[in-house]
Amino acid sequence: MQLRPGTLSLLIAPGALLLGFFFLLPLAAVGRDAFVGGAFARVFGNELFVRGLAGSALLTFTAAGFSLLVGFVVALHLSRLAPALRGALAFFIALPLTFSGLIVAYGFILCYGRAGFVTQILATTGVDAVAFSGVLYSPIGLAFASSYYLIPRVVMLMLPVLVNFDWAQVSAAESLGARRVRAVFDVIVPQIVPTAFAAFCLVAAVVFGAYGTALALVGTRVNILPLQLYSMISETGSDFAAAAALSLVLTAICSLIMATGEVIAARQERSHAGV
Amino acid sequence: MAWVTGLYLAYLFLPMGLLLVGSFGDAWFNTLLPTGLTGKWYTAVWDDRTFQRAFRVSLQVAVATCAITAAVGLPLAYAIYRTASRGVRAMARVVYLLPIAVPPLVLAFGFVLVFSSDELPYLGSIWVLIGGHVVLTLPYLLQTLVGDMRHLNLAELESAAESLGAGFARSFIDIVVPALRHSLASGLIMVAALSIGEFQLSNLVAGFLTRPYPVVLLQAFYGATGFACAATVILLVLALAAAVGGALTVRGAAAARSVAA
Repeated sequence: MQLRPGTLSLLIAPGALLLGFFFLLPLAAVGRDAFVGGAFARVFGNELFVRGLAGSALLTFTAAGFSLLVGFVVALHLSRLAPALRGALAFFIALPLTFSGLIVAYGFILCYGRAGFVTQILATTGVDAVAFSGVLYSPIGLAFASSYYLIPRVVMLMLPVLVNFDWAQVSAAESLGARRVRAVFDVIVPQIVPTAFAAFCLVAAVVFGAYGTALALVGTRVNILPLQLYSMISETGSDFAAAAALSLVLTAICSLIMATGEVIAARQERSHAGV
Repeated sequence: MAWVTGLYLAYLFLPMGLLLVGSFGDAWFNTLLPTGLTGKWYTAVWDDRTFQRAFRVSLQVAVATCAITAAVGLPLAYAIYRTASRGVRAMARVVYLLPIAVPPLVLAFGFVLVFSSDELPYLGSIWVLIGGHVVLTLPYLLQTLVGDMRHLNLAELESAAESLGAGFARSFIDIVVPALRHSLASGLIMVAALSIGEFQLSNLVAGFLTRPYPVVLLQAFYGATGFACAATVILLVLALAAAVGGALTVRGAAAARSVAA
Protein backbone atom coordinates (compact mmCIF):
# COMPACT_ATOMS: atom_id res chain seq x y z
CA MET A 1 0.00 0.00 0.00
CA GLN A 2 1.32 3.42 -0.94
CA LEU A 3 1.39 6.43 1.33
CA ARG A 4 -0.75 9.29 0.12
CA PRO A 5 1.33 12.25 -1.12
CA GLY A 6 -0.18 14.42 1.63
CA THR A 7 0.88 12.00 4.36
CA LEU A 8 4.32 11.69 2.84
CA SER A 9 4.94 15.44 2.80
CA LEU A 10 3.65 15.70 6.36
CA LEU A 11 6.18 13.08 7.47
CA ILE A 12 9.04 14.74 5.63
CA ALA A 13 8.24 18.38 6.44
CA PRO A 14 9.71 18.72 9.98
CA GLY A 15 13.00 17.10 9.05
CA ALA A 16 13.24 19.02 5.80
CA LEU A 17 12.60 22.32 7.62
CA LEU A 18 15.31 21.60 10.18
CA LEU A 19 17.85 20.56 7.56
CA GLY A 20 16.92 23.61 5.51
CA PHE A 21 17.40 26.03 8.38
CA PHE A 22 20.45 24.51 10.05
CA PHE A 23 22.16 23.05 7.02
CA LEU A 24 21.21 24.55 3.66
CA LEU A 25 20.93 28.12 4.94
CA PRO A 26 24.45 28.16 6.52
CA LEU A 27 25.89 26.46 3.46
CA ALA A 28 24.17 28.99 1.18
CA ALA A 29 25.62 31.82 3.29
CA VAL A 30 29.10 30.39 2.79
CA GLY A 31 28.42 30.08 -0.94
CA ARG A 32 27.17 33.67 -1.17
CA ASP A 33 30.24 35.11 0.57
CA ALA A 34 32.68 33.02 -1.44
CA PHE A 35 31.86 34.76 -4.69
CA VAL A 36 32.45 38.28 -3.44
CA GLY A 37 35.30 40.28 -4.96
CA GLY A 38 37.76 37.68 -6.22
CA ALA A 39 37.98 35.63 -3.02
CA PHE A 40 38.97 32.49 -4.90
CA ALA A 41 41.82 34.31 -6.61
CA ARG A 42 43.13 35.40 -3.19
CA VAL A 43 42.91 31.83 -1.86
CA PHE A 44 44.61 30.21 -4.83
CA GLY A 45 47.18 33.01 -5.11
CA ASN A 46 48.31 32.50 -1.50
CA GLU A 47 51.38 30.30 -1.31
CA LEU A 48 50.18 29.03 2.09
CA PHE A 49 47.28 27.41 0.27
CA VAL A 50 49.53 25.31 -1.94
CA ARG A 51 51.55 24.16 1.06
CA GLY A 52 48.35 23.48 3.02
CA LEU A 53 46.99 21.42 0.17
CA ALA A 54 50.23 19.43 0.03
CA GLY A 55 50.13 18.87 3.81
CA SER A 56 46.49 17.79 3.65
CA ALA A 57 47.17 15.45 0.74
CA LEU A 58 50.09 13.83 2.59
CA LEU A 59 48.00 13.47 5.77
CA THR A 60 45.00 12.08 3.87
CA PHE A 61 46.86 9.51 1.78
CA THR A 62 48.97 8.33 4.70
CA ALA A 63 46.03 8.08 7.11
CA ALA A 64 43.63 6.46 4.66
CA GLY A 65 46.27 4.05 3.31
CA PHE A 66 47.47 3.02 6.77
CA SER A 67 43.90 2.68 8.05
CA LEU A 68 42.85 0.57 5.08
CA LEU A 69 45.83 -1.74 5.46
CA VAL A 70 45.47 -2.25 9.22
CA GLY A 71 41.66 -2.28 9.07
CA PHE A 72 41.64 -4.93 6.37
CA VAL A 73 44.04 -7.27 8.15
CA VAL A 74 42.21 -6.86 11.47
CA ALA A 75 38.83 -7.46 9.80
CA LEU A 76 40.22 -10.51 8.02
CA HIS A 77 41.49 -11.90 11.31
CA LEU A 78 38.20 -11.13 13.06
CA SER A 79 36.17 -12.79 10.32
CA ARG A 80 37.95 -16.09 11.06
CA LEU A 81 37.26 -16.00 14.82
CA ALA A 82 34.33 -17.54 16.67
CA PRO A 83 31.30 -15.21 16.59
CA ALA A 84 31.35 -14.53 20.35
CA LEU A 85 35.01 -13.48 20.38
CA ARG A 86 34.53 -11.53 17.15
CA GLY A 87 31.56 -9.67 18.68
CA ALA A 88 33.55 -8.81 21.81
CA LEU A 89 36.55 -7.51 19.84
CA ALA A 90 34.28 -5.60 17.44
CA PHE A 91 32.72 -3.86 20.45
CA PHE A 92 36.10 -2.52 21.58
CA ILE A 93 37.23 -1.67 18.07
CA ALA A 94 34.06 0.37 17.50
CA LEU A 95 34.66 2.49 20.62
CA PRO A 96 36.66 5.29 18.94
CA LEU A 97 33.79 5.93 16.51
CA THR A 98 32.00 8.08 19.07
CA PHE A 99 35.14 9.38 20.79
CA SER A 100 35.82 13.04 20.70
CA GLY A 101 38.96 13.80 18.69
CA LEU A 102 40.28 15.39 21.87
CA ILE A 103 40.46 12.09 23.74
CA VAL A 104 42.60 10.76 20.92
CA ALA A 105 44.85 13.80 20.89
CA TYR A 106 45.65 13.80 24.60
CA GLY A 107 46.00 10.01 24.70
CA PHE A 108 48.55 10.22 21.91
CA ILE A 109 50.50 12.95 23.64
CA LEU A 110 50.76 10.64 26.67
CA CYS A 111 51.93 7.75 24.45
CA TYR A 112 54.13 9.35 21.82
CA GLY A 113 54.75 12.94 22.97
CA ARG A 114 58.09 14.37 24.16
CA ALA A 115 57.87 12.58 27.54
CA GLY A 116 55.43 9.94 26.33
CA PHE A 117 55.34 6.34 27.48
CA VAL A 118 56.41 4.82 24.17
CA THR A 119 58.89 7.63 23.51
CA GLN A 120 60.66 6.96 26.82
CA ILE A 121 60.79 3.22 26.22
CA LEU A 122 62.25 3.77 22.76
CA ALA A 123 64.73 6.30 24.17
CA THR A 124 66.27 3.57 26.34
CA THR A 125 67.04 1.67 23.12
CA GLY A 126 68.86 4.67 21.70
CA VAL A 127 66.10 6.35 19.70
CA ASP A 128 66.29 10.15 19.78
CA ALA A 129 63.28 11.21 21.88
CA VAL A 130 63.07 14.72 20.46
CA ALA A 131 63.13 13.53 16.85
CA PHE A 132 60.68 10.72 17.57
CA SER A 133 58.14 12.93 19.33
CA GLY A 134 58.62 15.55 16.61
CA VAL A 135 57.05 13.13 14.14
CA LEU A 136 53.80 13.14 16.15
CA TYR A 137 53.41 16.84 15.41
CA SER A 138 53.89 16.44 11.64
CA PRO A 139 51.31 15.41 9.00
CA ILE A 140 52.62 11.82 9.24
CA GLY A 141 52.11 11.80 13.02
CA LEU A 142 48.68 13.35 12.60
CA ALA A 143 47.86 10.54 10.17
CA PHE A 144 48.95 7.99 12.77
CA ALA A 145 46.72 9.62 15.39
CA SER A 146 43.76 10.10 13.03
CA SER A 147 43.90 6.42 12.10
CA TYR A 148 42.71 5.81 15.67
CA TYR A 149 39.16 6.73 14.67
CA LEU A 150 39.49 5.81 10.97
CA ILE A 151 40.55 2.15 11.35
CA PRO A 152 37.26 1.26 13.14
CA ARG A 153 35.30 2.61 10.18
CA VAL A 154 37.32 0.42 7.81
CA VAL A 155 36.88 -2.64 10.04
CA MET A 156 33.12 -2.11 10.33
CA LEU A 157 32.76 -1.77 6.55
CA MET A 158 35.01 -4.72 5.66
CA LEU A 159 33.89 -7.15 8.36
CA PRO A 160 30.43 -8.06 6.93
CA VAL A 161 31.94 -8.66 3.49
CA LEU A 162 34.68 -10.89 4.90
CA VAL A 163 32.37 -12.77 7.28
CA ASN A 164 30.05 -13.67 4.40
CA PHE A 165 32.98 -14.62 2.21
CA ASP A 166 33.02 -18.14 0.84
CA TRP A 167 36.20 -19.59 2.35
CA ALA A 168 35.88 -22.77 0.35
CA GLN A 169 37.38 -20.80 -2.54
CA VAL A 170 40.57 -20.21 -0.57
CA SER A 171 40.79 -23.86 0.46
CA ALA A 172 40.32 -24.80 -3.18
CA ALA A 173 43.19 -22.54 -4.19
CA GLU A 174 45.35 -23.97 -1.42
CA SER A 175 44.54 -27.54 -2.38
CA LEU A 176 45.68 -26.66 -5.88
CA GLY A 177 49.06 -25.79 -4.39
CA ALA A 178 48.79 -22.02 -3.80
CA ARG A 179 50.56 -20.78 -0.69
CA ARG A 180 48.36 -19.22 1.99
CA VAL A 181 49.40 -15.63 1.29
CA ARG A 182 49.09 -16.22 -2.43
CA ALA A 183 45.62 -17.72 -2.01
CA VAL A 184 44.46 -14.75 0.02
CA PHE A 185 45.77 -12.29 -2.54
CA ASP A 186 44.47 -14.08 -5.61
CA VAL A 187 41.07 -15.13 -4.32
CA ILE A 188 39.97 -12.62 -1.69
CA VAL A 189 41.49 -9.38 -2.82
CA PRO A 190 39.73 -9.08 -6.22
CA GLN A 191 36.37 -9.68 -4.55
CA ILE A 192 36.82 -7.11 -1.83
CA VAL A 193 38.58 -4.39 -3.81
CA PRO A 194 35.39 -2.37 -4.44
CA THR A 195 34.48 -2.34 -0.72
CA ALA A 196 38.07 -1.56 0.17
CA PHE A 197 38.11 1.34 -2.27
CA ALA A 198 34.81 2.67 -0.91
CA ALA A 199 36.22 2.42 2.64
CA PHE A 200 39.39 4.22 1.56
CA CYS A 201 37.34 7.07 0.08
CA LEU A 202 35.14 7.34 3.17
CA VAL A 203 38.01 7.63 5.64
CA ALA A 204 39.95 9.90 3.26
CA ALA A 205 37.00 12.31 3.11
CA VAL A 206 36.62 12.21 6.91
CA VAL A 207 40.26 12.98 7.61
CA PHE A 208 40.61 15.58 4.85
CA GLY A 209 37.97 17.81 6.43
CA ALA A 210 38.76 17.20 10.12
CA TYR A 211 40.57 19.66 12.37
CA GLY A 212 39.71 18.67 15.98
CA THR A 213 42.47 16.17 16.69
CA ALA A 214 45.01 18.25 14.78
CA LEU A 215 44.15 21.42 16.71
CA ALA A 216 44.44 19.65 20.06
CA LEU A 217 47.74 18.01 19.08
CA VAL A 218 49.63 20.82 17.39
CA GLY A 219 47.58 24.01 17.64
CA THR A 220 47.66 25.66 14.23
CA ARG A 221 51.36 25.02 13.57
CA VAL A 222 50.98 22.22 11.02
CA ASN A 223 50.01 23.45 7.61
CA ILE A 224 46.86 21.62 6.53
CA LEU A 225 43.80 23.20 4.92
CA PRO A 226 41.25 22.68 7.75
CA LEU A 227 43.60 24.30 10.30
CA GLN A 228 44.19 27.20 7.89
CA LEU A 229 40.45 27.67 7.59
CA TYR A 230 40.02 27.42 11.36
CA SER A 231 42.56 30.19 11.94
CA MET A 232 40.87 32.37 9.34
CA ILE A 233 37.47 31.93 11.02
CA SER A 234 38.59 32.30 14.63
CA GLU A 235 40.94 35.26 14.22
CA THR A 236 39.19 38.58 14.26
CA GLY A 237 39.55 40.94 11.34
CA SER A 238 40.43 38.20 8.88
CA ASP A 239 39.26 37.90 5.31
CA PHE A 240 35.85 36.19 5.62
CA ALA A 241 35.30 36.10 1.87
CA ALA A 242 38.54 34.16 1.43
CA ALA A 243 37.53 31.89 4.33
CA ALA A 244 34.22 31.22 2.54
CA ALA A 245 36.06 30.43 -0.69
CA LEU A 246 38.42 28.07 1.15
CA SER A 247 35.36 26.45 2.79
CA LEU A 248 33.90 25.70 -0.61
CA VAL A 249 37.20 24.27 -1.83
CA LEU A 250 37.36 22.02 1.23
CA THR A 251 33.74 20.92 0.78
CA ALA A 252 34.26 20.28 -2.93
CA ILE A 253 37.28 18.05 -2.28
CA CYS A 254 35.55 16.08 0.51
CA SER A 255 32.37 15.66 -1.59
CA LEU A 256 34.40 14.56 -4.59
CA ILE A 257 36.24 11.91 -2.58
CA MET A 258 32.92 10.71 -1.12
CA ALA A 259 31.21 10.68 -4.50
CA THR A 260 34.00 8.58 -6.01
CA GLY A 261 33.54 5.99 -3.27
CA GLU A 262 29.76 6.04 -3.71
CA VAL A 263 29.97 5.47 -7.46
CA ILE A 264 32.29 2.50 -6.97
CA ALA A 265 30.04 1.03 -4.26
CA ALA A 266 26.92 1.49 -6.42
CA ARG A 267 28.60 -0.16 -9.41
CA GLN A 268 29.55 -3.09 -7.21
CA GLU A 269 25.96 -3.45 -5.97
CA ARG A 270 24.70 -3.47 -9.54
CA SER A 271 27.19 -6.09 -10.67
CA HIS A 272 26.25 -8.28 -7.68
CA ALA A 273 22.56 -7.87 -8.47
CA GLY A 274 23.31 -8.93 -12.03
CA VAL A 275 24.89 -12.22 -10.98
CA MET B 1 47.33 -11.83 11.06
CA ALA B 2 46.95 -12.35 14.80
CA TRP B 3 50.03 -10.24 15.56
CA VAL B 4 48.62 -7.33 13.52
CA THR B 5 45.41 -7.52 15.55
CA GLY B 6 47.52 -7.73 18.71
CA LEU B 7 49.56 -4.66 17.80
CA TYR B 8 46.38 -2.88 16.79
CA LEU B 9 44.72 -3.63 20.13
CA ALA B 10 47.81 -2.27 21.91
CA TYR B 11 47.54 0.89 19.77
CA LEU B 12 43.83 1.04 20.64
CA PHE B 13 44.08 0.51 24.40
CA LEU B 14 47.38 2.22 25.29
CA PRO B 15 46.05 5.81 25.04
CA MET B 16 42.96 4.92 27.09
CA GLY B 17 45.04 3.08 29.67
CA LEU B 18 47.53 5.91 30.07
CA LEU B 19 44.74 8.48 30.42
CA LEU B 20 43.25 6.40 33.21
CA VAL B 21 46.60 5.86 34.95
CA GLY B 22 47.51 9.53 34.57
CA SER B 23 44.22 10.67 36.08
CA PHE B 24 45.02 8.86 39.35
CA GLY B 25 48.69 9.82 39.40
CA ASP B 26 49.90 12.42 41.86
CA ALA B 27 52.76 13.73 39.73
CA TRP B 28 54.00 12.83 36.27
CA PHE B 29 57.21 14.52 35.15
CA ASN B 30 59.56 12.69 32.79
CA THR B 31 58.91 9.30 34.35
CA LEU B 32 57.52 6.30 32.55
CA LEU B 33 54.41 6.28 34.72
CA PRO B 34 53.14 8.80 37.27
CA THR B 35 54.19 8.59 40.90
CA GLY B 36 51.77 8.53 43.85
CA LEU B 37 48.10 7.60 43.92
CA THR B 38 45.49 10.33 44.28
CA GLY B 39 41.89 11.20 43.55
CA LYS B 40 42.57 14.92 43.80
CA TRP B 41 42.35 15.56 40.06
CA TYR B 42 38.79 14.28 39.90
CA THR B 43 37.88 16.46 42.87
CA ALA B 44 39.53 19.38 41.15
CA VAL B 45 37.53 18.84 37.96
CA TRP B 46 34.37 18.33 40.00
CA ASP B 47 34.90 21.58 41.92
CA ASP B 48 35.80 23.60 38.84
CA ARG B 49 32.92 26.00 38.05
CA THR B 50 33.73 26.14 34.35
CA PHE B 51 33.71 22.36 34.08
CA GLN B 52 30.48 22.13 36.08
CA ARG B 53 28.76 24.51 33.71
CA ALA B 54 30.21 22.81 30.64
CA PHE B 55 29.02 19.44 31.88
CA ARG B 56 25.49 20.78 32.41
CA VAL B 57 25.48 22.39 28.96
CA SER B 58 26.64 19.14 27.35
CA LEU B 59 23.89 17.15 29.07
CA GLN B 60 21.22 19.68 28.12
CA VAL B 61 22.38 19.74 24.52
CA ALA B 62 22.55 15.93 24.34
CA VAL B 63 19.05 15.49 25.79
CA ALA B 64 17.52 18.14 23.53
CA THR B 65 19.35 16.73 20.51
CA CYS B 66 18.00 13.24 21.25
CA ALA B 67 14.44 14.52 21.69
CA ILE B 68 14.48 16.54 18.48
CA THR B 69 16.22 13.93 16.30
CA ALA B 70 13.74 11.33 17.53
CA ALA B 71 10.69 13.54 16.90
CA VAL B 72 11.90 14.54 13.44
CA GLY B 73 13.84 11.42 12.48
CA LEU B 74 11.18 8.78 13.11
CA PRO B 75 8.64 10.19 10.60
CA LEU B 76 11.40 11.03 8.14
CA ALA B 77 12.91 7.55 8.30
CA TYR B 78 9.45 6.08 7.83
CA ALA B 79 8.84 8.24 4.77
CA ILE B 80 12.20 7.18 3.30
CA TYR B 81 11.35 3.53 3.94
CA ARG B 82 7.85 3.66 2.46
CA THR B 83 8.31 5.95 -0.48
CA ALA B 84 8.61 4.65 -4.02
CA SER B 85 9.77 8.06 -5.19
CA ARG B 86 13.29 7.95 -6.58
CA GLY B 87 13.69 11.61 -5.73
CA VAL B 88 13.09 11.08 -2.00
CA ARG B 89 15.42 8.06 -1.98
CA ALA B 90 18.17 10.00 -3.71
CA MET B 91 17.70 12.86 -1.24
CA ALA B 92 17.97 10.39 1.64
CA ARG B 93 21.22 9.07 0.23
CA VAL B 94 22.56 12.63 0.08
CA VAL B 95 21.48 13.33 3.67
CA TYR B 96 23.32 10.19 4.86
CA LEU B 97 26.54 11.45 3.29
CA LEU B 98 26.25 15.07 4.39
CA PRO B 99 28.17 14.92 7.68
CA ILE B 100 31.23 13.65 5.82
CA ALA B 101 30.83 15.45 2.49
CA VAL B 102 30.47 18.80 4.27
CA PRO B 103 33.08 19.07 7.05
CA PRO B 104 31.66 20.23 10.43
CA LEU B 105 34.17 23.07 10.27
CA VAL B 106 32.52 24.43 7.11
CA LEU B 107 29.06 24.04 8.63
CA ALA B 108 30.30 25.89 11.71
CA PHE B 109 31.52 28.76 9.55
CA GLY B 110 28.09 28.87 7.89
CA PHE B 111 26.55 29.12 11.38
CA VAL B 112 28.90 31.99 12.21
CA LEU B 113 27.80 33.84 9.06
CA VAL B 114 24.05 33.18 9.42
CA PHE B 115 23.63 33.56 13.16
CA SER B 116 25.74 36.67 13.61
CA SER B 117 23.67 38.53 11.02
CA ASP B 118 21.28 41.33 12.02
CA GLU B 119 18.25 39.22 11.10
CA LEU B 120 19.27 36.20 13.21
CA PRO B 121 21.64 37.40 15.96
CA TYR B 122 21.60 34.12 17.89
CA LEU B 123 25.21 32.93 17.78
CA GLY B 124 26.16 31.63 21.22
CA SER B 125 22.61 30.63 22.09
CA ILE B 126 22.20 27.06 23.23
CA TRP B 127 19.49 26.51 20.61
CA VAL B 128 21.87 27.22 17.76
CA LEU B 129 24.24 24.67 19.28
CA ILE B 130 21.42 22.13 19.55
CA GLY B 131 20.38 22.80 15.94
CA GLY B 132 23.93 22.05 14.83
CA HIS B 133 24.10 18.84 16.82
CA VAL B 134 20.72 17.73 15.43
CA VAL B 135 21.90 18.23 11.86
CA LEU B 136 25.19 16.39 12.51
CA THR B 137 23.57 13.38 14.22
CA LEU B 138 20.26 13.01 12.34
CA PRO B 139 21.83 11.10 9.40
CA TYR B 140 23.13 8.39 11.76
CA LEU B 141 19.72 7.93 13.38
CA LEU B 142 18.02 7.80 9.97
CA GLN B 143 20.38 5.10 8.76
CA THR B 144 19.80 3.01 11.88
CA LEU B 145 16.01 3.35 11.67
CA VAL B 146 15.63 2.78 7.92
CA GLY B 147 17.96 -0.23 8.14
CA ASP B 148 15.87 -1.71 10.94
CA MET B 149 12.58 -1.09 9.08
CA ARG B 150 13.92 -3.01 6.08
CA HIS B 151 15.22 -5.75 8.36
CA LEU B 152 11.87 -6.11 10.17
CA ASN B 153 9.93 -5.99 6.94
CA LEU B 154 7.72 -3.44 8.59
CA ALA B 155 5.43 -2.92 5.60
CA GLU B 156 4.08 -6.46 6.00
CA LEU B 157 3.25 -5.97 9.67
CA GLU B 158 1.47 -2.77 8.79
CA SER B 159 -0.56 -4.10 5.93
CA ALA B 160 -1.76 -6.80 8.32
CA ALA B 161 -2.90 -4.10 10.76
CA GLU B 162 -4.51 -2.10 7.99
CA SER B 163 -6.32 -5.12 6.57
CA LEU B 164 -7.87 -5.39 10.02
CA GLY B 165 -9.13 -1.83 9.62
CA ALA B 166 -6.50 0.27 11.40
CA GLY B 167 -5.95 3.73 9.91
CA PHE B 168 -2.57 5.22 9.13
CA ALA B 169 -2.07 7.14 12.37
CA ARG B 170 -3.29 4.16 14.36
CA SER B 171 -0.94 1.69 12.72
CA PHE B 172 1.98 4.14 12.95
CA ILE B 173 1.56 4.52 16.70
CA ASP B 174 0.55 0.93 17.47
CA ILE B 175 2.80 -0.97 15.08
CA VAL B 176 5.66 1.16 13.76
CA VAL B 177 6.83 2.88 16.93
CA PRO B 178 6.77 -0.21 19.19
CA ALA B 179 8.44 -2.39 16.56
CA LEU B 180 11.27 0.13 16.28
CA ARG B 181 11.84 0.76 19.98
CA HIS B 182 15.13 -1.15 20.11
CA SER B 183 16.71 0.47 17.09
CA LEU B 184 15.36 3.85 18.19
CA ALA B 185 16.98 3.34 21.60
CA SER B 186 20.33 2.23 20.20
CA GLY B 187 20.23 4.99 17.58
CA LEU B 188 19.52 7.62 20.22
CA ILE B 189 22.33 6.34 22.44
CA MET B 190 24.64 6.88 19.50
CA VAL B 191 23.20 10.36 18.94
CA ALA B 192 23.81 11.19 22.61
CA ALA B 193 27.38 9.86 22.44
CA LEU B 194 28.17 11.83 19.28
CA SER B 195 26.62 14.98 20.75
CA ILE B 196 28.57 14.73 24.01
CA GLY B 197 31.86 14.22 22.16
CA GLU B 198 31.23 16.83 19.45
CA PHE B 199 33.99 19.42 19.29
CA GLN B 200 34.53 20.67 15.75
CA LEU B 201 31.25 22.55 15.34
CA SER B 202 30.71 23.48 18.99
CA ASN B 203 34.16 25.04 19.27
CA LEU B 204 33.20 27.83 16.86
CA VAL B 205 29.47 28.07 17.55
CA ALA B 206 29.20 27.96 21.35
CA GLY B 207 29.01 31.17 23.36
CA PHE B 208 31.10 31.83 26.44
CA LEU B 209 28.36 30.55 28.77
CA THR B 210 27.22 27.73 26.49
CA ARG B 211 30.56 26.04 25.93
CA PRO B 212 30.03 22.27 26.06
CA TYR B 213 32.41 19.90 27.81
CA PRO B 214 34.84 19.10 24.96
CA VAL B 215 35.40 22.79 24.19
CA VAL B 216 36.32 23.50 27.81
CA LEU B 217 38.40 20.33 27.93
CA LEU B 218 40.77 21.64 25.26
CA GLN B 219 41.84 24.44 27.63
CA ALA B 220 42.74 21.84 30.27
CA PHE B 221 45.34 20.31 27.94
CA TYR B 222 47.61 23.27 28.59
CA GLY B 223 47.53 22.75 32.37
CA ALA B 224 48.54 19.97 34.77
CA THR B 225 48.76 16.48 33.25
CA GLY B 226 46.70 14.84 36.01
CA PHE B 227 43.90 17.38 35.67
CA ALA B 228 43.81 17.02 31.88
CA CYS B 229 43.76 13.22 32.21
CA ALA B 230 40.93 13.23 34.74
CA ALA B 231 38.87 15.67 32.67
CA THR B 232 39.44 13.53 29.55
CA VAL B 233 38.63 10.28 31.37
CA ILE B 234 35.20 11.69 32.26
CA LEU B 235 34.46 12.10 28.56
CA LEU B 236 35.91 8.65 27.88
CA VAL B 237 33.68 7.05 30.53
CA LEU B 238 30.57 8.71 29.05
CA ALA B 239 31.46 7.32 25.60
CA LEU B 240 32.09 3.88 27.12
CA ALA B 241 28.77 3.97 28.95
CA ALA B 242 27.01 4.81 25.68
CA ALA B 243 28.75 1.94 23.89
CA VAL B 244 27.76 -0.53 26.63
CA GLY B 245 24.18 0.80 26.60
CA GLY B 246 24.03 0.47 22.83
CA ALA B 247 25.37 -3.10 22.88
CA LEU B 248 22.89 -4.12 25.62
CA THR B 249 20.00 -2.65 23.62
CA VAL B 250 21.00 -4.55 20.50
CA ARG B 251 21.36 -7.74 22.52
CA GLY B 252 17.95 -7.12 24.14
CA ALA B 253 16.42 -6.68 20.70
CA ALA B 254 17.96 -9.92 19.44
CA ALA B 255 16.71 -11.80 22.52
CA ALA B 256 13.20 -10.34 22.16
CA ARG B 257 13.13 -11.37 18.52
CA SER B 258 14.27 -14.92 19.13
CA VAL B 259 11.59 -15.29 21.83
CA ALA B 260 8.96 -13.89 19.46
CA ALA B 261 10.09 -16.27 16.74
